[in-house]
Amino acid sequence: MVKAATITLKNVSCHYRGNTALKNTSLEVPPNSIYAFIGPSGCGKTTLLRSINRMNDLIPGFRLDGSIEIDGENIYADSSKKYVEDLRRRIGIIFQQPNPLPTSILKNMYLPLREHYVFDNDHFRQKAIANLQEAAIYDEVKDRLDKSALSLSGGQRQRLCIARAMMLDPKIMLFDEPCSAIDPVATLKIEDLLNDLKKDRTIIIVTHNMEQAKRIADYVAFFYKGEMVEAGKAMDIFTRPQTEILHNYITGRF
Amino acid sequence: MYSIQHRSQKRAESLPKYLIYLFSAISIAVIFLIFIFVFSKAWPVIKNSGLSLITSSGFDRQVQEGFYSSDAEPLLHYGLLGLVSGTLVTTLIALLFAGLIGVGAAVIICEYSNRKISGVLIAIVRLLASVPSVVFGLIGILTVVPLIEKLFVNTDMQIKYLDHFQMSGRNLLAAAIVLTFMIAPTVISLTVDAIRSVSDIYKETGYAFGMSKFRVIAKIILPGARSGILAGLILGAGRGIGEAIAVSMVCGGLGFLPIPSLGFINFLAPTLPLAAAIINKSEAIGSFSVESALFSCGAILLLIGAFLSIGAKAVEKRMRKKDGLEN
Ligand SMILES: Nc1ncnc2c1ncn2[C@@H]1O[C@H](COP(=O)(O)OP(=O)(O)OP(=O)(O)O)[C@@H](O)[C@H]1O
Ligand SMILES: [Mg+2]
Repeated sequence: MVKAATITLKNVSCHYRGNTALKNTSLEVPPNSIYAFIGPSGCGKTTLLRSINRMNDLIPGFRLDGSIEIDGENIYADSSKKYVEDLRRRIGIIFQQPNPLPTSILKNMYLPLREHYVFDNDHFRQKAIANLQEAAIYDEVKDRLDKSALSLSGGQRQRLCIARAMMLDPKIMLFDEPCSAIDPVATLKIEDLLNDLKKDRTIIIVTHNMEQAKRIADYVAFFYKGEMVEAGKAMDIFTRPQTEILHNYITGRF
Repeated sequence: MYSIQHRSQKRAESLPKYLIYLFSAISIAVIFLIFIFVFSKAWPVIKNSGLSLITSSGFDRQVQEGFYSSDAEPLLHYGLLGLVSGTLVTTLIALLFAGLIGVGAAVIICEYSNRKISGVLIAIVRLLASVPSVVFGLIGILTVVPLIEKLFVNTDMQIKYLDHFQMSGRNLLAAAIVLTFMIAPTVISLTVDAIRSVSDIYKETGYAFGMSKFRVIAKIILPGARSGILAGLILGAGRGIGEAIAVSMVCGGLGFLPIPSLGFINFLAPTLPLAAAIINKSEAIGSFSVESALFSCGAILLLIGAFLSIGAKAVEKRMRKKDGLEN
């Protein structure tokens, strides 16, 4: 097991042009853990997740107050293009909608590498195959690496995206409802994968699925209407919720 | 009850369907008739000239001789190589320029300007696309031709190349430039549409891997917009090959065959693309010889057009295959 990164949020508030999506959130994500963000729709989970690799910088008018630290380094201290681009390559993100590019599986895998390394067919291929294996999809695609990634099923596409996100060896991986578009069997495969990934990485996952959070999360933060209501060990959150609102949420009374 | 409703519904639907079939059949028939008409008119020259119709040059002289030949004993041997090369070279150069300008402009419109500015730019592009070709020709005569004369043509040069041709501002370069401005709006519009249809999801994929905006455009947006760009270039090529009026106004009117050893000077030589030749010599169409010669120009144009669309399909298919999108 490799020690991964610690992520610390200090008084984070996120504003879009005209509205505030998240207020005053502080929490710490320990290394090599799976941290789940839960809460009803529109409470700011995605906003917070995308702030951790500064994807929200792409949205005109977005502003973040407070600080987000990775191993003590405030990632909002420097806003130069170079720093932000470098930050993003250090953090993998998987979106709700599996998003392979409309090209071959192998070319999808090469995309991140090509961007930052000189093309070396043998090395690239080896690395692609290793990651596809780690993402537990290699056996399903090994005979069609040169075929379109769009010929894959939803669950396969999502695992391909996870494999692709691992190409730059990120120490942190962010998942935004990775299983919302796929069936239960594929979901279980991805959960297994997440448990595997946390051996060397720190993982944050946004999920609407309470059972999923119970199955895989080490820590959970519950958000409601733009505020973090409770956060802590998954066990505590699910067995001893401190607020009525969280109690109602996990018991499905919403 | 159910079946009655079903049948009447079916009849109501099938009427428009048959109308569509009918109109498609009519358009196909018309295309065939055009081919047959053009080729039958061109046949005397094609039959007499054989392959040398497109492998030899000499049209400029032949068309004069042909005009004075009697209809009883018409001159039917023509060499159109100079015209074919004029068509292909002007179109290719214009396509290259228009491709670069068009894709560049589309990227600026879509990615580097705010909504207001891009709206204005698109309005200008649409306007440009609707300007009649004769106006392009006129502007070419008034601006491009004098500019080229000023920049490249002087008496020394004219004397130096007098053996080959009479150098003036009306030349291959002028034709290509005028054509560029006629083709570019089409390329821009289609590229803009194509770029806008590339999903944000794909762009975010690039940014998430630490790509710069420029790299996202080069590696994700433009490849994603590829088929739209290709469609723009094909339409542009079609327009370039078929454009007659504007080109005939600035091309110099002589089917000069480029001489490799002259290099860049070839761009300053007069040219006469097939379509411009038809316009240029149309007064002489009363002569049987010239008529058949001009129809053979038309026949070659039709063939180039047909090859163009087949070729484009093949290119697209090849690219899709490379990406694994097709077997
Ligand atoms: N690009 C944007 N511009 C303006 N407001 C936005 C933008 N994206 C999200 N918001 C707003 O921010 C708030 C939080 O949205 P966010 O997407 O973070 O919610 P979420 O918790 O992920 O919801 P869901 O579970 O439905 O995905 C919402 O009120 C939303 O309307
Ligand atoms: Mg969300």
